[in-house]
Amino acid sequence: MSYAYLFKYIIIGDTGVGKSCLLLQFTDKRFQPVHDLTIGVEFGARLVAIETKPIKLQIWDTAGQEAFRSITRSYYRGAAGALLVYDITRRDTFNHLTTWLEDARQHSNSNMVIMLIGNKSDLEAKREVKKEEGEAFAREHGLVFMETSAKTSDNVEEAFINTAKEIYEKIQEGVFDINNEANGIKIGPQHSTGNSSIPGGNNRASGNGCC
Amino acid sequence: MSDSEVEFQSADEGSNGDDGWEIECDFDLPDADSSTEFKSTETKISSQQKLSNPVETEQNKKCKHEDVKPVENFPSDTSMLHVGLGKLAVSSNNTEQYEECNMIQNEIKSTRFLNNDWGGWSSGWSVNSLLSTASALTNQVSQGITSVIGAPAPEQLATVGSQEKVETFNETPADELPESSFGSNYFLTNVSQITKIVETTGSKIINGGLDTLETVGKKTFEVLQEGDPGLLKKRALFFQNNEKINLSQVLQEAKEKSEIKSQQNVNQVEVKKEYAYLLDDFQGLIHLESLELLSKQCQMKLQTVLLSYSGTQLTDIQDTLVQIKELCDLDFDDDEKLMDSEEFKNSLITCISHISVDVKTEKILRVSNFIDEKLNAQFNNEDSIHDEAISALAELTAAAMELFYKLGEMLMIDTQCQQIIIKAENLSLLNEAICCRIRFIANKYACLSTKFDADGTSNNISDIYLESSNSSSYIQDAGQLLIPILQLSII
Repeated sequence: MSYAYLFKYIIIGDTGVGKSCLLLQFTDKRFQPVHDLTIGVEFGARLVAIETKPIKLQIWDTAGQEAFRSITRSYYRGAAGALLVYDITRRDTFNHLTTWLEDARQHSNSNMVIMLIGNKSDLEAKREVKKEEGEAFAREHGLVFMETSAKTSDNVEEAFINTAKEIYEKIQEGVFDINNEANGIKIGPQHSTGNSSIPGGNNRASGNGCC
Repeated sequence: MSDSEVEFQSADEGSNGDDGWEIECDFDLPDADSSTEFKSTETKISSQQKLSNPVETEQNKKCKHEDVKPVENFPSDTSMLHVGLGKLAVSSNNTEQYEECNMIQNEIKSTRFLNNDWGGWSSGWSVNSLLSTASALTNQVSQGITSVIGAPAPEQLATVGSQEKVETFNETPADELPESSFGSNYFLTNVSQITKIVETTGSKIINGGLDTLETVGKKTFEVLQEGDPGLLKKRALFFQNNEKINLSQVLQEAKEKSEIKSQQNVNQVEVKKEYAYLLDDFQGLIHLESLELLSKQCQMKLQTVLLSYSGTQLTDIQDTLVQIKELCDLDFDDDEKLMDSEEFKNSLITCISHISVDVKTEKILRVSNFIDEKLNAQFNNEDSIHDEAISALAELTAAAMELFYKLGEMLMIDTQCQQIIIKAENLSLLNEAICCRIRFIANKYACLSTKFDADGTSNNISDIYLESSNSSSYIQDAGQLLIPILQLSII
């Protein structure tokens, strides 16, 4: 419930690459084979722990359709991390990465951590984009790379959490100005985490202590 | 070579400055140390200060003693100056010294004028002592400041400049001196030297003062910046009034406050869930925030587009924009109107169909129905009614935020720009419908509360009404945010 930091993520990529499924797998730990087209943007949130610090990830899942592109652009600003997703079974989604990246770099803050994700790694038989190609693209553009499967949940946790780790490191290094909310980072409420369901001794003690 | 040494040498050239040399030896000790081992420890510096203090007093006494002998009509001002200097030298308080530094500067200036009238004045000793005291003072001040805030010794900074000055006047005796009533060449040179020395010392003190001021300024800035990089918070404080406050920001803060509050209420048996906190929980805040982003973007585009128009074209467009705004701002006379879930459903569906964008209404209708169900349930105590009411209001408001946000998105990518008038009207009708529904729910819960005759009943009821008016404000604000989006769609 209480968190030390809130990171804002944005998920981008062509339509149908599995952005919403990735989010659903991450937040609800389930897979929905048939998913409605995302309208504009959908939201998801989950609490993770980075170096024992509770961090709330607020995820903006955008629509991949061209029609929503202008709307999506207004959400880049104020994101600390971005997941750029392509479908390893569709070459065209990989080819469009450059456009997406340009868009992201142009409209986001320069420190935004971008994670490249080749989704649908479970569909090995239909693979059109080699893993090495993804790695090469990531290397060339200074991104972190990972192949995931929203269906089997393979690497999904890692993708979100590694991005959070990278952002957290950047905060420690002082790269991000955490007081500027345009960086997509908010500091959590300044009090210790307490479990309200157990109004027990410990909580009472800490409650008295802070007053 | 330290700068004070340079000055003593130059001062002694035109006089028998025996005293001056003695003084110099004494004074060079702290001075040389501070220039070579500048980063020495504080204890060392303070011992140096102790060392230089008695020396100065002694030397000043000496000066005073010799003062009377050679000069018969010596002006009393000078002796007063010496008293001042003595006081200065003895004083060990750093801040006082800093202030007196300015004082002595003024006094030095006045002595300079007096010099021209001193008839039988032939020796440079008084200037020497003045100089040495001044330089010692600068040492002390700088050492003091060094030990307090880490400013570099002004002498160090001033050394280069003063050395140059001294060299130039050694080569060329000053010709530009003001005409003196005593024509003697010797005296002229002497006076010119003195003037130069005093000037140098003066500039040294001024430089020192400036450097110290700069360091003090820097230090102040550092302290101000502590825990506030880029002075963002402080700037925000100063420019608070100029900037439009973000609604979602206010809500965020309110939510954080309520979180802290609820944390403090842990001791209580029942933790009351605060409205703002619940609103965030139901994702009302995030949708409002996104709607704000869209609205701002459209507002910016709108302004850019308007810049490209002029003349009647511009006034026409402005008229249309105002018309749209007025339609969205429709005032409803009957602010006591209520809507049960069926009325609400009908009204909502009609409005959305007129706005003719593909927006799903399932969620808000589901929430609305669910609240009706809960209202029919039995409540055991009055507090649970209150909590239910707040939760219901927050959930419905959050659903409304989402609906408005989705409407905004769809309007942005909407290509049919006809019927804009109808859309604007229906947006405002939709707004009204949701507010009626909110009022209805608040009323129902308040009625339920009155059945219990508990201590907090009255408080709880006003709380419910308060949050219901809060809900209405959020809904109306969200409606306002749609205006620029709608306006942009006709251009």
